[in-house]
Parts: sequence; C-alpha cells; structure tokens
Amino acid sequence: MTLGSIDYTVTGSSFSRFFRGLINERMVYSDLKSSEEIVVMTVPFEYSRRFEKMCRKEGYTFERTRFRGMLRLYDMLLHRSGLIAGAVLSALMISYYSNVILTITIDTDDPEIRGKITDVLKEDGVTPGAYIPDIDLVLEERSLKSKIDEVAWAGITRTGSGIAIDVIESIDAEKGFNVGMPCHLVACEDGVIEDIELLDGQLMKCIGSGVTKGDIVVSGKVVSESSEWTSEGEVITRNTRYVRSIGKIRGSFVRTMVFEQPFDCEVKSLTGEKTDLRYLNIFSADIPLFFGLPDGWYETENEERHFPEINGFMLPFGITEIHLNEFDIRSQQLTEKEAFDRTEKQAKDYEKNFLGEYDMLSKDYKKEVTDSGVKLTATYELYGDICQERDFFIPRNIINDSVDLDEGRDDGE
Amino acid sequence: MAKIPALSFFGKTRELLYLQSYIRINDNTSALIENCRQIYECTEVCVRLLTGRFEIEIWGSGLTLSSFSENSVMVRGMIEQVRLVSRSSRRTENDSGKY
Repeated sequence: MTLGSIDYTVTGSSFSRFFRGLINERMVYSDLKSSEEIVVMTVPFEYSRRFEKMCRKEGYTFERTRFRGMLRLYDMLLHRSGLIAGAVLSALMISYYSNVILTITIDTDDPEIRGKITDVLKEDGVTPGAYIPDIDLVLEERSLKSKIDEVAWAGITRTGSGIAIDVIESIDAEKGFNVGMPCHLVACEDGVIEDIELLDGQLMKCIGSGVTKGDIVVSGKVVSESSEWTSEGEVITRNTRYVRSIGKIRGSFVRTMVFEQPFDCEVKSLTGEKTDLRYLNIFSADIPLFFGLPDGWYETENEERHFPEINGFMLPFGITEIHLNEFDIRSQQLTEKEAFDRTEKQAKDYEKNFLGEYDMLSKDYKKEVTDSGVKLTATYELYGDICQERDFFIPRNIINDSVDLDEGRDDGE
Repeated sequence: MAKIPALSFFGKTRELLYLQSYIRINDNTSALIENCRQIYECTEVCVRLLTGRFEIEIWGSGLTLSSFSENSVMVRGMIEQVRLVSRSSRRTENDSGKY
C-alpha cells in the first residue's frame, strides 16, 4: 500500500455476489465489515480501479469516504501549491548546486601562491558557479603546474559541490656557488674613475682615467712575472692566477634622459553617476542579484560584505555590495605649462626610483617644444659605483696545466 | 453418523496438494484462514467462510475481514468462538448452498 488506500462504503441488497467477486477478482482489502445494506472496507489505491469496476459490474453502488496514507498527503499537497513549488525549487537547486563549484579550497599557506592559483583558475573559467562536468581537472592541474613556477605539483579533487586544490610548492634550487669563480670588474657607465678600493684583482686603470662601457677596470686574471739570472741568461717565470675581483670603483659620469609628453592625452573623469551591484554569497559562490552589467566604465569605490554572525562565527552566506562610480575617458588638450609639469613629474619619479644610489653632482633640464608636445632632456652628473662584476670562464686546458704545475711545485718542495 | 475411513485417499491428496484449509489463530485477536473459497457473511459478531471441506464460523465482537493475498483472509477482532461445520454434514442436514 505504497500509494495509500481508500475507504469505501458499498451499498446493495445482498452481498453474496459481492463477496464472491472479491474472491474471484483476488482483491486485496482490509477492515471489511458488513451490515444489512452496507459494506465498509478499505482498498489499496492500486486495486481501487479494479474494485470500482467490479462493483459496477455486480450492480453495487460505492462511495469513497476517506483517503488514507500517501493519498491523504497527495490530497493535502494539492491544496498547498507552495509546498510543491518549494519542493520543486529545492530539487532544482540541489541538482544545480551539486554540479557547480561552490567552494574552492586551496591547500597552501603562501598568500602569493594562493593569489596566483586563483588568477589561473579564473583565467581558465574555474570560478565559483562554474559547471563542474565541463571542467577537465587533469588539464587544469597541468595548467597550474605550467603557469605557476612556484607550484611543483598540483592535484585537484572534487569534494561534493566544491573543488580542493592541493599543491606542493617548489623549493628554490640553491644558487650556484660563484664566490670562487673568477670575475672582472667592468665599467657600466662612460665616466672618469675618481676613487678605487681594491681588495683583489689586477687593476687595469688608474684614478683619473676615463672608461667607457665594457672596459675591464679590474681584471680577474692576475699575471705575475719573476726574473732570475742563470748562466744561460735571464729566465722570466710568468705565473697566471685567476681571482675574483673584489673592490669598489667609483667615478663621475653623465647620464641623459629624455621625457616626452604629447599635448593630446586621455584623462579619466568621474561623471557622478553611482551604481550598486549586489551578490548573494553562498560559500564561495557569488550569485549576482542583478540582470546584466550596466554599460559604461566604472571604478570600484568600495565593497561591503554583510554576513550574519552567530557568537562571533561568520556564517558562510550573505550579501556583498559593490559601490561603483561611473567615469568617462575623454581626450584633453594640455597647455604647454601643463605638459612641462607632467614631464618634470616623470623626471622626478625617475630620479627617485633609479638615481637614489648615486650622488647627484648636478642636474640640468632642457625644455623643448615640438609640434605634438613637449620634450624635457634631463642631464645628470652623477657620482657612484661605475663598475659591475662580470664572470668569465677559464679554459679546461689551463686549469689542468695549473694543477700539474702545482703538483710539480709540491714535489720540488 | 458417517463412518470415517482410517486412510482417506482424497484426504491425503488434498494434504499433499495443500488444498486443505489452514487456520491459524493468534490469541483471541486474529485468525488467518488459508484456502478460503467463499465469504458468506461478515458482520461485527459473525464471520462465515467456506473452505474446501468446512464452513468456518467465527463468532466474537468487532470482527473485520482483510485479505492480502489470494484465497486467504484474516479475521481481526475479539474472537470468542470458532466453529467448523463439515460441508458433507451440512448437505446431509440440507442446509447448504443457500447463501
């Protein structure tokens, strides 16, 4: 009686045919009671049609007096359409949310890697709300491994309506030990050497000499000569030693930079129009509560998150409001003064960012007006380190020869 | 009085073919009758059923009849008396087939 049962009241004069019919039809029933003119009984819903057909055939009148079990529930539900609508809606939501990503769990403590993973996932369309069967998790794992250098291995598993990303961060390989490698100190600016602090290496230039970019100022190849007079004459012994040049070579040099600013430029101006976007947040899913994004350009003013809390514990659902300000990009014609102000600002930024390590001896701005804009040529006279280390490699045969020589010297001793 | 044979051929056959009527009574609350062929009467005080060889009368109060499978009925209620009347003796008394 899975679908419930129906109580019947059957009326007639004699019920012998009725009882015979019950046996012949192999009817299933319960609680049958008869009196002079009526029979009261309960028939399962599955047998109700057969029962009614039998009653009509045998000439008895019947009446449905009561519904029992599930039928009663169905009858009740028919009069409460809200419950049906809610159940259907729940079923639809369950089927939908069981197939879309609600939560993305990234198993890493490094916020930088977390951010990069989130960016790659977003780029590949793996965001809260994405349809999970459409996502190839193996391809996504490969994508994470190939696009993020810090990720050595990535594994993605589906956890219900979410995905969990487990990553193993790559450990930076130990940098090559280059302290013992020979190197030159090479000029990186065109200038004049004014101060030398040399700890190791062979100085190739002296104070006051001018250097151009690429000149070897301190060589890592130290050649020493010793002469000895024998009966056969003077014997010159030349020893070559390869060292790592260590020292500070300071000098003054001139650097010239050109900053340009066209008169025509585009500027961003706020129109004063404000728009709010609201999202319903369920776990990690952002469900938009609006239809379509507004046209135009907008910048975010601020974002407010309204999540209910119970005893300080924030529940995983709430509303997020994003307040947007509309702006317009329009072309602007700068005056000469405005244009020069902008180039000067560029120059100041450059000085702040790139010339901080040098002493500025003098500075000269040369302003020029062209057809389309202005040009600021900044000439800086600077004082500072003008050399940088440049490694070089020793041919294998030289190393072998020097090893042989060392061994021979040891034997002699 | 009719003579009852010591070994009835038909009786044995009916037993082997499970054509006998099987009656199971639980306390005085219900009785299950299998191989029921006909229902004669079902009131609150009396249920009369026909099986292969007997007419079964169940007396009591608040009796109801249910059937959940073929040829078997269950009588529920307060059973006070069960009476089995042989169909042959009923025929002898010329008191059958009138229901």
